[in-house]
Amino acid sequence: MTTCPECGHQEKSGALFCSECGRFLLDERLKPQAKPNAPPTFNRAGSQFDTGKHPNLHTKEFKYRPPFAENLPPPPPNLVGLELGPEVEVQPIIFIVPNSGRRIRLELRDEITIGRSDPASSTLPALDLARDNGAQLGVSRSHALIQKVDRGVTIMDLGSTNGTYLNNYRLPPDLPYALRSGDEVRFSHLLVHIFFG
Amino acid sequence: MEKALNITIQATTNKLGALHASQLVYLLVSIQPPAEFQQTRTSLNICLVIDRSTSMREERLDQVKAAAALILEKLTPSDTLSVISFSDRAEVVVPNSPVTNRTLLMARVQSIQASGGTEIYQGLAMGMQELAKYLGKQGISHLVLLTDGHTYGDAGQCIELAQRAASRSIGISALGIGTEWNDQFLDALVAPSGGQSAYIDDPNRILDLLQERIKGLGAAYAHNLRILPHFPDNVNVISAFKTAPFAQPLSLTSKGINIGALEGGHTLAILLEVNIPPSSAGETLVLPLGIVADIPQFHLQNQEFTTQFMLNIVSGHPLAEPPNDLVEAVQVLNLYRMSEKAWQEIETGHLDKATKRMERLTTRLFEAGYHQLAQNARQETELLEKQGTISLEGRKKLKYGTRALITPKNMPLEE
Ligand SMILES: [Zn+2]
Repeated sequence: MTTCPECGHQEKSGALFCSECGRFLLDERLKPQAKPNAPPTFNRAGSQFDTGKHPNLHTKEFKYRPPFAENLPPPPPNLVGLELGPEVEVQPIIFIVPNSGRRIRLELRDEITIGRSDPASSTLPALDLARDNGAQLGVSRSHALIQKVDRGVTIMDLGSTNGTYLNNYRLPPDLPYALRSGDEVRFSHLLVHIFFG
Repeated sequence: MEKALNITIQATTNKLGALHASQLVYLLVSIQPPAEFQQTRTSLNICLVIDRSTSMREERLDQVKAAAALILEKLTPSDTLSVISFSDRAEVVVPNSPVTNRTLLMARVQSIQASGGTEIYQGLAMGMQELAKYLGKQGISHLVLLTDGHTYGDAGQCIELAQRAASRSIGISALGIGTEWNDQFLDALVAPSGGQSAYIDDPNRILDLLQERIKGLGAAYAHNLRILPHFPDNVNVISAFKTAPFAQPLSLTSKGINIGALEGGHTLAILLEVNIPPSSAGETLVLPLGIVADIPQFHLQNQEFTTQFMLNIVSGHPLAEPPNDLVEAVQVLNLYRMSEKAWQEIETGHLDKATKRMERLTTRLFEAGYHQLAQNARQETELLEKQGTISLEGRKKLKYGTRALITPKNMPLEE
């Protein structure tokens, strides 16, 4: 028998997936990659930023893992010394917010600010998560910043109260990290899937 | 003569660790015509069985008629066609005959009017009678059912009829229009012959699907294919699923697994879930597999082709490194089953379980990159939480959506 590490369900040896919760039961290396099953706006451009050192983004759960778990693994390498792909002129970025079902497409010219609008302080980030229940979920007014740099795209936490998690790793504030298509980013408790168009 | 069928088997592994418990192996059986074969068009004996119950409102019926008209264009005088309509009873609209006078045939089809209930058996039975007139004289006999409703009280009879049809080499495909029809029933109806059941959410798609089916059948290289697993005792096929050219659950019978036709230019692929009994190190399990087929251009009928797969039992825990195609097929099958389970849980009133399963399904669909389906699943999960049920439309989108993922060319498009 094989016991599913996620839900504890018992499967026969040789099963590839847990029939209860769908988790892949073999070595993570063999797990199928997410399907680029979409027309051009949705193509995963991730490979061009692949560093080979980045943790496998598809192995992370967005729903069941407590967001502030203790003993988190070390954060991914930051940009220093990373080889990224060639520069892209204007990069459309698609944000999917499972919580609200919203799908937002923004053009990345230089940067995209992320946070939640607040009438009191007249903050208006380019990606406004107020509409996705951002206030209740702990998103800061000025939470994070996505930037186009000459070697790719980066994301940086702006010293937010509850943190920015890149594929479940909490980013130290004010340091840019490589962002790849297909990454899962959590702004406090609010999960967002990010794809490059 | 070059071998008339090319059969390859991929497996999750060819080395299994010796165990005191049974274990699973997945086999992906791919069947293709030989590399150089003559692409000939097979003559067809087709019966369209059209639901004309009241619910087939004007738009639906009009679309079916339009699709029928275009299908007529695709058929040639060497094909035969009949058209049946049914509500509480059935009528022969066009008796089975060679497709010579299209104008006349079309005028008859146009005369179909919607009214009455849905009793599918009447329509199927009459369709079978018409097909029988040219059975065996034509290459392929196939009945296409177009319906938008539940049948009442005669589902069992319909399935029996489908089994008899399969034993007489008549294939059945079922196209469900709208959301009211019973998907489990249509699946069961097409399973004996290895035919296709499909969900049509937009009446405009009726033509596409019908055309694809007729084209596929006309280009069939071999038909009435059947898998015969000549496995040793205690080695059993637990489930079978067609993954190409279209995705469809298959049924296991004592006479093997009917897998339908091998269409020219396509691969016919079947995923088998196989249970291996406890075995000891050093054993080699030989799993012979027979594929039975009719291949008209070689005048072969009921011809069996055999191949085999060898499984070595070794000590320890050998690392399985299954091929990617196979893992992906199993993954999607698993997703499909999760949605089926959730539905069963809803139907039996286990809403908490169903909700949890739908949440997990949503996660997995996102994870696998199937965002549109994940969105659907998420919406349905919310509905389930709020109203204690998921929508019929949502269920069908999810079911036929996950199913279609298995067939790469049918990947649904994102917005
Ligand atoms: Zn599990």
